[in-house]
Amino acid sequence: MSTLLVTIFGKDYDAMADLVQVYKIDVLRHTARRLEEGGYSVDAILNSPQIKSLKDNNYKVKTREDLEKVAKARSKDVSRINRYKERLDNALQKL
Amino acid sequence: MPYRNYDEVETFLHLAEVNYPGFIQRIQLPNKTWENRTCHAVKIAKGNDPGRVGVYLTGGIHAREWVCPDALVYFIELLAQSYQNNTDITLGGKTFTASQIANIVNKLDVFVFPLVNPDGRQFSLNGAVHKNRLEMEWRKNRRPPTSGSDCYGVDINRNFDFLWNFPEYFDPTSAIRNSTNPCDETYNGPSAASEPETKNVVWIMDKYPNIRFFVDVHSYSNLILYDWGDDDDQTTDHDMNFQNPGYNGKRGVKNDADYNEYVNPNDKNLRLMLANHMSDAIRAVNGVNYRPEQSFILYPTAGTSTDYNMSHCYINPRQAKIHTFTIECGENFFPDYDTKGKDIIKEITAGLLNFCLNILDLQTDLYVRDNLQDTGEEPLFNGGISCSPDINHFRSPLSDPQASLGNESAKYQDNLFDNIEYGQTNYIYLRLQNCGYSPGDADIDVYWSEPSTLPTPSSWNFIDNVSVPSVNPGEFKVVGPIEWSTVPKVGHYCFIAVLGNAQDPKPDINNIHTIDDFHNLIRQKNNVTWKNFDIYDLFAGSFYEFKFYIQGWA
Repeated sequence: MSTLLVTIFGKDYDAMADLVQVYKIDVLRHTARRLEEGGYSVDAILNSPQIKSLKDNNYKVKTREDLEKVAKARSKDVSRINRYKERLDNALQKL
Repeated sequence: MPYRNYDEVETFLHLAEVNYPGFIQRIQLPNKTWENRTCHAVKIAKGNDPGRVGVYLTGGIHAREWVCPDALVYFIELLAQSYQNNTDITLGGKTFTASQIANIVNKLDVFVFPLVNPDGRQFSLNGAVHKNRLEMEWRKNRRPPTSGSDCYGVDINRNFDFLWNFPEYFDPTSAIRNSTNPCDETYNGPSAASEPETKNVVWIMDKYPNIRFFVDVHSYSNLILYDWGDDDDQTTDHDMNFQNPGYNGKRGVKNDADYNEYVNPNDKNLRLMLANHMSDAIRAVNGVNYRPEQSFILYPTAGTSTDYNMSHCYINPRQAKIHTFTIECGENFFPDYDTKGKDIIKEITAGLLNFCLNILDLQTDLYVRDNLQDTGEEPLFNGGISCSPDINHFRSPLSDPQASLGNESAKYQDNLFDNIEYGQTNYIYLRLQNCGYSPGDADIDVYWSEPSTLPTPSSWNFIDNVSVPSVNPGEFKVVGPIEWSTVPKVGHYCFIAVLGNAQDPKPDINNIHTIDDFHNLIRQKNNVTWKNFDIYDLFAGSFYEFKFYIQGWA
């Protein structure tokens, strides 16, 4: 089952409040936006059944990232050594 | 270039202290994390002259927000190199001159705590190593499960002591993003400030009372948020505030009139100005727009670092006001370091450097109190206006006025004066403070008036003028004596003191035409104050007639 970073679109404030109160979605609150064309959007991390449930209840859901793929891609972005250790050792020796 | 792990952040901070001993000092935080890690922050400052304003930057509260600790490490590195080598800093299209950087280090105390939640970060980074999405998305700290649960972690940014017990304070229909369920991402913890990471953030704030500005760097959304986060704000009803139990159960609903959190209009303008300047600097780097916005957007929160730090001065009026911000950087949690992460790091560094520079431009705000609750806030909301505790008069001069009237106990007493005596010289002392952000001189005029002539300043009687070379932010200064030898006859009178300087001018007393004008001026301006007093003639052999009645005697 995929887990996706998505943007959820709702028609009004009540619809956005329902995401938390009714659908128990862990929205990423600071991504909330009032849209120029009307309505609101907010990001969340959802699985496929959650996405289907929201769509069935008149929310529009747009996928931003497949987090399984991101997890694999970011492995190279994590340091597994201490790049400062040698520099610190050298600096301490000079003291 | 990969994201820095916990060991690298800690070693970097140590290296910075070793390489730049003249202006970087490491600070060890007192609370080890649940996984027994020790954390450090640094203080960047050249010199220790009194009155320096403190700026406090934190990052890495949420584990999965990878770019934030790296941005603060880069900020420290760049600031230190530039100061040491006297070189400009260029970040994309934004340049900071060597002289501007020198001003930051020479005039501010910059505290940086780049990795608040190392256990969580390490867990999240390891998730990527293991290609485990669930671990990588970790947000909380790594508190072991409590009894009755098998879930780890507390959301540090719901654990601070601001409306922490949210079910008591918020409207049940509010869309609050806090939880009491240990398995939820926004679990607020077993008690307020229960977590070592929370305590560490608070410890720095308490240890360094000169901190007046706080920025918590998060991701993501390209936003610069200013407080409050619990509800929409409002600038008119001072009593509608987070401390008022009358509003319990009403907070956190968007666009309603039942509750909106009070913010002083001057403070809101200041925060908006600083947020806009941060945004300008960020945009100049790469053209990315960070929108300034109030922290409460659609979803309220309780227990956040920023609301807690800002609330402190309301809970304890003796503490200086702190202005707090959250930066939400980037457009996702795990940007590719080399293609996106580096750009975001430059943006945040530029925003924070500009933030520091703008703080240096902020001005003096001198004040004298109208009552003991007065903190210099304009307008005055609490207490009386005719008994200033900061006009003190004595029949003989004090040998050490600063010690007598400026010690910790005396500061909060309003009965430190002698009766004014007719027929001799009396000695007037004033107590003034600076709730602004830079040192300033003070020029003070002192008048006496009959009560009936308060609305006509042209009839006030000038006693004397006194000048003070400098009052530092946060300083409590005793000034005087002003020798007053032309004391009028026995009776009831008023003192008026008016002070100012070029940055913070004296209010125009010529605009007073009615007693309401006078009262309004006292309430609206913190650099004018009033005290009623009586003049006696007790030591010249005078006789007085006192009438008294004894109940039950005919």
